[in-house]
Amino acid sequence: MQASARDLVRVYGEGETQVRALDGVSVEFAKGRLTAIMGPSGSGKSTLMHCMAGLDTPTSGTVVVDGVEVSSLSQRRLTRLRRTRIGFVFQAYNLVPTLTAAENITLPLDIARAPVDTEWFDEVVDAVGMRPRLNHRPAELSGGEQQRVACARALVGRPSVVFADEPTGNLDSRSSRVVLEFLRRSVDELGQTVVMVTHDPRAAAYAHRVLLLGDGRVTADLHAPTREQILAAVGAEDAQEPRPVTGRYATVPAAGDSLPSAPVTGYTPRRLR
Amino acid sequence: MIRVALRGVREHFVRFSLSVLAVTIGVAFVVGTFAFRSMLAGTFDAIIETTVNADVYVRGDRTVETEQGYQGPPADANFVPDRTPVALSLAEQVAQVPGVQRAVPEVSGPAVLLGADGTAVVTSGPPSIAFAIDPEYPTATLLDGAWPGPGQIALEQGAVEASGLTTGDETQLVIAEAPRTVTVSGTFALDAATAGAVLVGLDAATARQVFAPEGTVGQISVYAEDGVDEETLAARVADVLPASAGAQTVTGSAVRAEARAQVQEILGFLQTFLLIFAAIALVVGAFIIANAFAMAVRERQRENALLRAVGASPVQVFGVVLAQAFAVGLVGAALGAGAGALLVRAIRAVLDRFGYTFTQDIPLSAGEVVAAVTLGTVLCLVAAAFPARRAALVPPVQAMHDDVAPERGTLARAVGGAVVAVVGGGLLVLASRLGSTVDARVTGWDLLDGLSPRWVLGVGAGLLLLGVLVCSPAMARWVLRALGAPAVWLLRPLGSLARGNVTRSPRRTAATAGALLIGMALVACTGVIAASTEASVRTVVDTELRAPLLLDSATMRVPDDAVAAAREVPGSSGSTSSASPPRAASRRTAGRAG
Repeated sequence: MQASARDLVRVYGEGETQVRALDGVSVEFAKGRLTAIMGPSGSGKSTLMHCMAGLDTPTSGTVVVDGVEVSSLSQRRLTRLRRTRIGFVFQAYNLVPTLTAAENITLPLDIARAPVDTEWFDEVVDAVGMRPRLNHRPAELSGGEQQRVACARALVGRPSVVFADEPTGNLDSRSSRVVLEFLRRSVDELGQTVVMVTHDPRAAAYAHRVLLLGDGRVTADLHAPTREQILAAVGAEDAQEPRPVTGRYATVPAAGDSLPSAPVTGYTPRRLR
Repeated sequence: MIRVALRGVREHFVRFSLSVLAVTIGVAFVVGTFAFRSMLAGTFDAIIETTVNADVYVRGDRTVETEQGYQGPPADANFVPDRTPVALSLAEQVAQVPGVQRAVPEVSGPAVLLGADGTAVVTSGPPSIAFAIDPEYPTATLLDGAWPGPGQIALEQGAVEASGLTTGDETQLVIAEAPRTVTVSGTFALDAATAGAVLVGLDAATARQVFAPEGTVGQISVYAEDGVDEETLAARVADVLPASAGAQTVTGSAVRAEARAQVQEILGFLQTFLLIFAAIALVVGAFIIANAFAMAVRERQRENALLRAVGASPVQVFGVVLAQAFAVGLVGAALGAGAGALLVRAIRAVLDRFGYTFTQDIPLSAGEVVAAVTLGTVLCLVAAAFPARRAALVPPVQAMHDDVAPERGTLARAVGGAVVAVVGGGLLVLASRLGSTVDARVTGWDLLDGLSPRWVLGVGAGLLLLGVLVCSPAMARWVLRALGAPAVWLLRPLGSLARGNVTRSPRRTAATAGALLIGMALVACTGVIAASTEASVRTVVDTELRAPLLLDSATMRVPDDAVAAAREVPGSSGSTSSASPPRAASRRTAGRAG
């Protein structure tokens, strides 16, 4: 077991404005698997990830990453944990704008003053296909390239777990596919463990396992689901409280995609805030 | 991490340039002050070395209280208090002492030289002096012509330039009472920088007759033969001096040390005065730097959050910001050191145009430069430390979402600031009472009444300023609400938006206003000093100078017949200058009436 959470509760605010972002979540993430966490806005998926990664402190409950109980660590040891055992990919603003792509990739190692394993560095860089653009600044890279650099950075320190928070949230479908394929390959071929938060059922379809969150609780746990199964699960959840039809979950078929029609019809997308 | 920091400075150099400028100006003032002081000290040292060059001096054994406000002819270059005169005849006696090469009585005094255009050679401060010179005179080199005989004068280079006279010209020289016609016999140079003084060499007989009519001189310089050291010679000379002569014997080194100490004391005061300005510049600079860094940190909150997320500790993020401050401080301070040296060069050039000549090299010790650069860098680090701390302690998740941490309440600041301000205000009242009573029984408590009003005033003013600064965030909201009211009323709906922007985060608003507050306080402070100085001078002038017309002389001595002539002028009710001691008529506060 690479990472696990037990009875995780995270409460924000006080009194009237109190929000239970996590309301007793227990979950385990297996080694060598790509797990997607899905759920509507405010379902607590980002909070869960931040608590797992030691970026946020749970109100109660325990988090264990790679055999270390994260929830009871001091700030100093949390910093060391992030440095050595955890890789991050965020939705945006992943790279330090003043450093080149190569420097951004080795940044965690430089911070930890650890030597760069050049063989592994080369392997990761080739896997994301960024070798020709290593000396470019982030401003000179496309959004997809930036996310690929971020993925390489997350993997270069051989972390126990990579947490990806909406890694394709700002990307077009082509760039998304490249990034997602890489994340999946890093699990299948390089043996990494990846936990990914996403809104996008198509992104979630790359996962070995999909967790659905709603109002701070786990509402579904799908193993190796197809996109149809995911859409069905999301639709089933939303069917309980119907909302006006607009966007975010309405997947528009991309050119060349053959989309089976059946499951989509039963799905009522939830309106964005 | 250092790379992240330095790249950050390089990328955003324009943004940091204001901070660099702030450090540069502050350090330039400090370095400039040091350089100015060492330039003056170097010039005076050179003057002392060349003018106080004898091995032993025989001089009066008592100092004379000089009249307040009057400073003896500075080109005597002794920089020491006036003493009782010694008899001229002692010189011959001393000259007989074994080991004495030469004993020169110092006869010199004020003189007015008429230039080639027929008007008096006037300087804007440096004195105009005539003294005895002969071929044996140490440190003097004849440039052309000959040494002066009776009815002749020799001119020092500076005097040549100022007067436009050349060898062979005939002109007038006013020494003692009367003008006399003289011929320029030649020109000479002195080893020392003359700081703009007009120096005229006379033959010994004329000089004695004019400047030592009573057979007494200020001092006698004694030069040793080769191989005789100062102490031995001083002891021998002291032995031959009769106790009744009222003279004392001192070594040249002792006199030079005395003179240097005197110069250092005056320059030390000047340096303190200038350093206060440098300190002001640095304090204001610190505010600017703190603000610039607070903005930079706020702007790069997400970058810092990213660094934290990929494993940077708070200390490392703190270090990144401090490293940037260090770079900014070092660049600014280095520029400041250069600017300071240039500043002094500029000052010297300006003074040169006004006739003050200083030594050409500006001796800046490495220690002083290092101290000034360190000061600038440390200042920058301290100023950036607070924003850096904030950057380091923002939780990464909050920073990533670009949340603005709600500002803490201002109540504590309001209370703390009010207390400090009230204490400061109380001290100011106390200081004014202490300063305006003679019996010094103001509060009845010995502890308070014993305090020096100056210190109480200084501490009180400092505390009041500090108190206002501390509680300014608490005041900001209310003050701005009132000040913004017209804007809200007139510029709907933008006025209320604008007011909302400044009142939303009173701490930030107050910090921005703080730099201006300190600046204004300092301007007001200098203004008050200037105004009160002017008022004091005006009082002195009003009470002491009642005469509608003032007759003054460039030789510091108004000739008797001039006084008599003035009395004869129709409409003059009388003249008091001849009744006062001769030198009183030349008090500098009176100014020169033409």
